[in-house]
Amino acid sequence: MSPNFVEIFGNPWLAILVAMSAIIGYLTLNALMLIWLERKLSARIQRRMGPTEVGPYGLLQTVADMGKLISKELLTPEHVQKPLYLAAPVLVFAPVVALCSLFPVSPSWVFHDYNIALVLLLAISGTNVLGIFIAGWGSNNKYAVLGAVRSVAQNIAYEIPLILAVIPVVMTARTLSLYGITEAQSAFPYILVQPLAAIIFLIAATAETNRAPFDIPEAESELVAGFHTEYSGMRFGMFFFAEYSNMVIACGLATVLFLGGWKGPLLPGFVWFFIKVYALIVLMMWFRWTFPRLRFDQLMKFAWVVLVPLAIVNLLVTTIVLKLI
Amino acid sequence: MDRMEVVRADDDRDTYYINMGPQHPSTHGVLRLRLHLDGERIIDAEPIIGYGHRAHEKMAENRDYLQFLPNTSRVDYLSGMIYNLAYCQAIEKALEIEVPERAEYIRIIAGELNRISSHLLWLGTFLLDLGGITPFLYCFDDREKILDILDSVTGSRLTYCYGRFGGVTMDVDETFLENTAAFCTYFHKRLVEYDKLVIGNVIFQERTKGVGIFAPEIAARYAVTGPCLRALGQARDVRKDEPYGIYERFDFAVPTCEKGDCFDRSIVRMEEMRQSLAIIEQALRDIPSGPVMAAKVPKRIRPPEGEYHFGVESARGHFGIYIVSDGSDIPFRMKLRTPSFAHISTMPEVLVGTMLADTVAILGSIDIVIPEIDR
Amino acid sequence: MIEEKLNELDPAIVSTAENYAVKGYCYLHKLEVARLPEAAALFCEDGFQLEMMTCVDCRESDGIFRLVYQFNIYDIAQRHLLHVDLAPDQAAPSIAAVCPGANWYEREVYDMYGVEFSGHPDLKRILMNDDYVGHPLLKDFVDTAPQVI
Repeated sequence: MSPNFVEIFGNPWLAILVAMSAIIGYLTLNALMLIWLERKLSARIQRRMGPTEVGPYGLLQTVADMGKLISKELLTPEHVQKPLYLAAPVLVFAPVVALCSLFPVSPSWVFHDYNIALVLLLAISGTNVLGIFIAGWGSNNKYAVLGAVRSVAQNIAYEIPLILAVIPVVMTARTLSLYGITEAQSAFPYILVQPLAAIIFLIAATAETNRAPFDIPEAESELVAGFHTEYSGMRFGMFFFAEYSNMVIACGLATVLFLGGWKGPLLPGFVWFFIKVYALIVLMMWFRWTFPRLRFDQLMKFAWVVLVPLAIVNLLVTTIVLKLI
Repeated sequence: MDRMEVVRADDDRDTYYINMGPQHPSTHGVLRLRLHLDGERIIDAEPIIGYGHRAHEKMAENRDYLQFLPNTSRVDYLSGMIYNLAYCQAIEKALEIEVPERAEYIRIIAGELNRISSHLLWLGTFLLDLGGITPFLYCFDDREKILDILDSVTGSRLTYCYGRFGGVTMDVDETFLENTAAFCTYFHKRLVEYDKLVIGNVIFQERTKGVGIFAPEIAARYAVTGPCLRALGQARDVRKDEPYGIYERFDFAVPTCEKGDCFDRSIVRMEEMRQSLAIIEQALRDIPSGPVMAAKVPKRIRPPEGEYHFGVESARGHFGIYIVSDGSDIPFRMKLRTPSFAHISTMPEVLVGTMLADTVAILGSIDIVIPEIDR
Repeated sequence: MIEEKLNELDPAIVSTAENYAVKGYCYLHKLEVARLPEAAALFCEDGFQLEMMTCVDCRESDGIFRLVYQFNIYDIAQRHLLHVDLAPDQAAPSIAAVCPGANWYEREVYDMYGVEFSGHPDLKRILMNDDYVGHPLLKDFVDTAPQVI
């Protein structure tokens, strides 16, 4: 039985305001920490030190960087299409806030428990590609448009294996509510019964968040900076903010669906939840610093020719096994 | 040309021009590639060079032979030692100066160490272009060891002026030889690691296999040399075909591959690093004691009137020095034939029909250094 | 051998054998300008590659521009130098059709010396910027470009 946030606060508008503030606060802290983690992790993988000067172990480095980004002049290049150019960072960030409210962090803590939470989550997360495309198109720059076009194709292609990998989990848990799916994993986490779906989901989620080795839309060595070439200052910061937040959402979803959410011995629920989410995030970061980038057509081929058939086969096998049990 | 200019071609296709460079993370220096694209496919590619033209050949006509010596290693700063020693050997051949044995062995060791450091930098930047950022730092870490070794005897890390007409500047001591031997032992293991991390990586193989195949006709028409030619199966190496210095005494193989795509070129360069290690180890074993400078070097360098050519195998291919001497101590004409000039002139033919992402892989794999194209 | 074929082409071509150990090349051939495309075709058909091509400004001593073509065949490492003497305002025939590698070398000679190549597909400057005035490697070149500090 999950609590209802609206009841606690009485007024639904107050509840929304408090929820949004809490989520944005968490996401800011999260971005600060993840950027530090990425820099330290990449440095250690590359035999370097990473930030060490600002604060103990360089922990305040990101704070200093955020301060720098916020204090920068918000330059708008002359040739961009202003409405699209200005709307894009907002459009990229807005779905993230909505999505974070759907995660059941612990048995007694969820903002609102929808019984179709999973569908809602997948639907809203599909809109982030709109923000990326508008960023590229509105920039009025060849490199940005190339990056945007690639991003749209990539996101659409990897949505299919993502959803196909999620369906077996739903069939096993017999509910679409994220809270319910976590509850259904009291005996064992679903990664043990759906290993293939877990791998497909992880790969597709890495592609959805435009992380390496699927980071073609922002491929630095080919397209300078892809769809956010023309952005600078805090607008550029918003894209990065959104990327790290998307990582949390993708890994959060993987945790809920496959790793059992808040389930775990000894420690309280929300501690386990965050441990699992951040372990997956470290894994995604490890991918980035190890693998080179796939070429765009190879990436698309991988999605359509490898992942989708595998996911369909997995779905069929799950159906048959569930029918037999 | 940075707005979206849609050019209506004859068959009414929407095509556009894109500039890669001169400021671009992947063009390895100031190179401008003007690409005519149809979607992601390249219809036409035009390399525009000259952004780094420093007039070395004009400088050669205004300095005497000894004064030009520092210029030589700046032509290709990654094979600076090889170029510097090549120039010394060219003049020594023209004047028939005999170089003492110890100096020859030192030249071999220094040249091969330079070749390894150039290939390491190529490996790091090639992977960087493909998106794998980590090997870049590992390669530079190994390269630091080589640079420290060469720094201890020459005083420079990148642009060496170590050779003199008749030998080398300074003798090497026991520490140098021990450090080099230690490096060889260490680097054998590193090469195995690179094979696993880089060459064995599936994504790397997907990006490089079948990409940028040099047809043998192109190689013949444009006088392609070096690893690009060896990847096609032709075992041409100036050190074997026209041996200079004491290369005949060393036992090393010339690695070749078959198809001539980016992957084969990478394999050839990895193998070349191993062969260079073999040469260095043989040189360390056999190096005699003695002087490092010839006894009789003329005070004024005046090659007899006429033309001279001297070629060496640099890390990129056949580097040729063509000197026209009028009998005075200033060269009348010095032409530096650099391998990257020939290689990049093949780009209009090789890049047509490839995709934009492949451009980066192909440019990286042919290993060009812009300063030696522009001189 | 290639020297005999050249002799058959035009007995006026003077070929001298050189000391490879000192000079670095085996043969030196002196050609007339008009014979250049055919001689180049002969070399290319025989498997030679154009290793290098350049120009030497000999106007002070001999009143000519000397074009130097260097052909090499890798199987037997035989390097041949071709000398073609041009009067100062004379245009040379381009061998880019026969030997595509010559395309950029001829552009460089045009850029540095002002020697024109008739029949070249795209004769424009290669190292200097497109609106540069002057040809830098000429012996009497004076740099008139404005100094930008």
